Amino acid sequence: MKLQLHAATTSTNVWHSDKPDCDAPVEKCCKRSKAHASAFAASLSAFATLCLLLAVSAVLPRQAQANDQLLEQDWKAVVDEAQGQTVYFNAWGGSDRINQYLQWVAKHVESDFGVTLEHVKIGDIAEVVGQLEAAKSVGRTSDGNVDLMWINGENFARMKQQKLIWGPFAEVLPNAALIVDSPSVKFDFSVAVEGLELPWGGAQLVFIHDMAVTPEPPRSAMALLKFVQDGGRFAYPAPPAFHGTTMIKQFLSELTPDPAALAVAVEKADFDSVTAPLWDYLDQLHPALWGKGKTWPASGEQTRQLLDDAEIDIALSFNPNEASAAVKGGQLPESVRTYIFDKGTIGNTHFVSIPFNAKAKAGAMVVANFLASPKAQARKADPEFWGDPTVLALDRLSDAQQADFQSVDLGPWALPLGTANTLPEPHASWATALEQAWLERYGN
Amino acid sequence: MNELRVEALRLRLPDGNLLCDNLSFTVLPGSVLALMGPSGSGKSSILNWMTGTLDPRIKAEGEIYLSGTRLTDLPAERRQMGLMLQQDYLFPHMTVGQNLSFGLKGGSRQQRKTRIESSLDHAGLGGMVDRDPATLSGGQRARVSLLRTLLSTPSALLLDEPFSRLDADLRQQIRDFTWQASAELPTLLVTHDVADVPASAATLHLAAVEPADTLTVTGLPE
Amino acid sequence: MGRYFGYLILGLFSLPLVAGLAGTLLPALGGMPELAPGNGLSILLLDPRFLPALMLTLKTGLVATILVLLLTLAILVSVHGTRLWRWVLGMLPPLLSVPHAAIAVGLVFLIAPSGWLVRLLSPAFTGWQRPPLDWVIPDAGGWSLILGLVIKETPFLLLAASAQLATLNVDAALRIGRTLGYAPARCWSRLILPLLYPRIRLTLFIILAFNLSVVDMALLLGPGNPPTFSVFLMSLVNDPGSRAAASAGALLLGIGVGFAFVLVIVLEKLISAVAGYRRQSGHRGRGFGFWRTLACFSAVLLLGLGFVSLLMLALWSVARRWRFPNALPTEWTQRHWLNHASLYEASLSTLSFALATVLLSVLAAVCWLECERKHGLPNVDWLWYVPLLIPQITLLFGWQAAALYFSFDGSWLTVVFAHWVYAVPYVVLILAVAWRELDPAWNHAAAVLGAGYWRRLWQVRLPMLMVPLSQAAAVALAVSVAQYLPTLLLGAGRHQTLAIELVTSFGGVDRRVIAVLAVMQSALPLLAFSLALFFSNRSSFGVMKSSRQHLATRERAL
Repeated sequence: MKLQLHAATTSTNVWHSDKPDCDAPVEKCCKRSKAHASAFAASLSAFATLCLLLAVSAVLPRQAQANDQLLEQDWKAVVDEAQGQTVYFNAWGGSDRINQYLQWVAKHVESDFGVTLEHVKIGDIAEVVGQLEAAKSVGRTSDGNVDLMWINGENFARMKQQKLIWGPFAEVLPNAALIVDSPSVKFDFSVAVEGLELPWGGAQLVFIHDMAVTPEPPRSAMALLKFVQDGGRFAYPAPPAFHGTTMIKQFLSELTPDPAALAVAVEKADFDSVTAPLWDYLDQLHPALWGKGKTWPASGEQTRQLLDDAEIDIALSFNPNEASAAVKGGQLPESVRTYIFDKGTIGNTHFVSIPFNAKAKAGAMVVANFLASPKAQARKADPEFWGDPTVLALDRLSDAQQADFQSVDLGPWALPLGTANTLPEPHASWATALEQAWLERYGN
Repeated sequence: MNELRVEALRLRLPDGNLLCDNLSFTVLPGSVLALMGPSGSGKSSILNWMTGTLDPRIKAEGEIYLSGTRLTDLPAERRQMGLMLQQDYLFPHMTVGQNLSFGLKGGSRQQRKTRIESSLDHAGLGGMVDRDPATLSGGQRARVSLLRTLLSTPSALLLDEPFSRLDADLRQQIRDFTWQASAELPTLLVTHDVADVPASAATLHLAAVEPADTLTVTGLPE
Repeated sequence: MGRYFGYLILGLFSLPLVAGLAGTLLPALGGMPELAPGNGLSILLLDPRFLPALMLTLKTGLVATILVLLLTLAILVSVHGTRLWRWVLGMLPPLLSVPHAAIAVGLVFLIAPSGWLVRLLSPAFTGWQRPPLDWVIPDAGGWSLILGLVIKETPFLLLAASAQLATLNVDAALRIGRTLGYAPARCWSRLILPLLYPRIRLTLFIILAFNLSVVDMALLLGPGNPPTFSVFLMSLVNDPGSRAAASAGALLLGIGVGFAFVLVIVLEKLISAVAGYRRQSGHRGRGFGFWRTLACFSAVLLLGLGFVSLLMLALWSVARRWRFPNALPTEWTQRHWLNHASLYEASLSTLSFALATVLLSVLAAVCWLECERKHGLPNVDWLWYVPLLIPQITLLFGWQAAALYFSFDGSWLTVVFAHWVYAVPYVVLILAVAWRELDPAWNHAAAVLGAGYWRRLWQVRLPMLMVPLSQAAAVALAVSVAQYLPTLLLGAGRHQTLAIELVTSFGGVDRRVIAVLAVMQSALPLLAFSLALFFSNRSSFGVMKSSRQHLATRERAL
């Protein structure tokens, strides 16, 4: 009842404040009072509908159903159940190439398994985590909007801690056996994965430069500072944009006197002393950036566009093969090359996961399994389509499957194979702390 | 008897003034009653009340009968009263033929077509069936408008200053055309031009609106 | 019986207004703890972004609105009655029909340091071998957002004003004033503007509310750090920890817009008092050649920027390689049109919402106006203005909360409903003029020929009102195609319309792909307006030819 009472006061206020001056002839004013009467009738009928809706929602039971038996069944039963389901896959939609790749996936799961895949394009997966938290707090434990989500790092940590993930489902999937045994697959930003998410691809922070403009790009944080102070053009997206946060972590890993502190939760570290060199560094760096530390690129992809526009000299990417794809697509000149800092750059693995209240869990499992299949992974590794490094252990594949991977042509523009030198991600809790500290210093 | 009868009509304006009070008259088939009076005397309101298209803000009491049937509560489209106004109201988005077809009742497609063409021929408008009304002359429009009304087979004819917009030399021609067409019907004519009124017609004079209760007119049949 | 249809329409229209305000008010006051825990206002006030975002919004919103008003008046005074005026009038409808987001994207391509303007002049005139570093787009001061708003909102006010001028006898006022020895500018300021201003005040308020609360254009053209207030609120609303704060902020924004209205009224009284005093001075004023040239120049510049922005979109959509400082692409391709997987889907989704919106809003408007006419239901024109005067964010946060609460978020119908609520005011207000002007005698003439209600409606009234109907339909389509916020918030991310694709992919996806989306988003309403124009020209009967009247309440894509 409280809701309706508030509604009543609000609407009346608004409508009265909207009343124009009554300088019209008397007849008009009479009409207007009639108008108010009818508006009142209108608002009454609106309340009636609202009351009805409230009543209906109170009567409907909020049922919770557990389909944990899916995890016990054999795979064929899962595939059978998935037939005809629609899977809403919430995944970042900011890259046309990735979107097209997911359409290819959708086509295949439709024809192979009868599963309809809908790619729900989102800007930041943290928002979806927030919606799931809200759903959990109001008791919507079934029929959720999200069946599968693309996730890693602090968002995974948050979901795991709040028990927003259904499973552990990942180890049940047949293709899980093909995945490489590496620390970044077992631990997502130092948080144990434990089958709550399935590895999908690898990534590493890389830099792209144009040899025709910048033949000798800077290869460390300090060299970068000198580079911009000497007139070089550089910019990174403002955190919490993903590439921005990663760039900050990269600077911190290089500059901090205490790298070991980054591997544990931020609460257990002396944040101020660990990060002090970072802020000193940024204070010097920012005035010399493109945008003078007041304006920031919106995303890593925008730095690539700015590189092509010659507004900046070095673009950021989290995909070692992005430059290849961009050159082939006409988005970068052929004179670009990809490189990393001499002491390595931050790298990690990204995953997919199934929320606790997913509606089409069997379908989501089938899609996830397909994403980790050699066929899907080989296409994903090809810069022609996406160029995302695989998570499969190639020695566990058949010769034919291996050949698919080996036939991928990365071109001279990608990070040369064998030069990857990966630094571990700091513990998941660092991201938010760093973002907040950054925003407090440079946000305004 | 196909007579048109109005009994004890009282029209009251929103401000309380009476437009007319206790007006009664009867018009027999083939006869014409002319309603005359200065503008503002309520002639057009009386006609609108009779056709069922009176502005709802004017309060009306009284009864109307046509051929013994009580029309008072019927909607305009079921009263079978033909109305001709000062303006011809030929629908601008329809051709001449479509306008006539809009008025015509019943018949198969072919019958309707023949009927429309023959009535146009009869009125001296042969071959104009596909013309845009906007391309017709004033006299032609008046004739089409009258034809449209007649094709709807009215049981009475109400004419509200139908000739006043026509040129003087055309006026007599259209008058003759009208009286010829309405020979079988009870006809009510509203006008302020005595020349419009046929010799055989009875005439009813209305006064301008005065404060209530001074106005009492009793109509007389022929 | 019929009148209950009328009440049903009013109820359907008011329901989301009531539910939306309640759904914003309740969480803001802590009344929905499960959906929005915490004290919203205190979380909001403690956020370091709160104050800077608010200040930025006040700056961009107020400066843009003042510029829109000044430019409109300057253009009226200087250009009205000249040959340029016809050109200006012709340019307005297409500019108005193009969605804000598309214009914003094109504008970035145009005025960035590596944009087309610099490319045209470089290196020949500027000597720049590389893009200058003196400015960036979007800039930190919000000036690119202000420019975008002025380009898009000035035509709206100009069109509203030109429709009103048709009802004022401008030429006579000018003739009388000039024969009394007053300079033309003085005739305007002393004879015409005092009459004109009250008639465009409501349109100005709609523009002010829009400028203070716009989201899509602020995402594309506004600074990110701090963002404008509504963009800042958008970053809060989907996080349950800050939903209460977002609701409190949306409420504050609504109240702030109310205060801005009051401020405008106070200013207006002040100015009219001063002007009323000065009007008695008898000064005749002198010629104003310089100002006149400046105003003509800014009219051309403003409309020109809008159109060249559209041209930018078209060029980028077929470019393969286009590096600085080339004035034109060096390699061309149709690949982005032919191979763009989401273009087809997004266009289809956009079109499905647009057609449903057109159909339902025209149906509702016709239904309501018929009830108003036939059953004497009172004129509630003020009610239709309500959603245009309340910031979208204030209404939609609450609407989304209600949708989440009753679990009807994400459905196609919910989104159509939202589009309908934003389209129906324009459709009703455009049609109302025509409906009330149509002589009831046509209806009577058909009735006495024996035509019943439905036959009169279908064969007489609707065909005779075809011109305003087709214009209203085009406006409804333009409004629906441009809707970003309702589709985003109520669609639960499931409905990828062109507006959503365009705004979410900006800054991420390839520029050429964005250009394709923006061209498509502009093409739909432009096509609809061309069709409406075609209809108007074909209906040669002169009953409802005064289409200027209807332009007064013409489309704006909120």
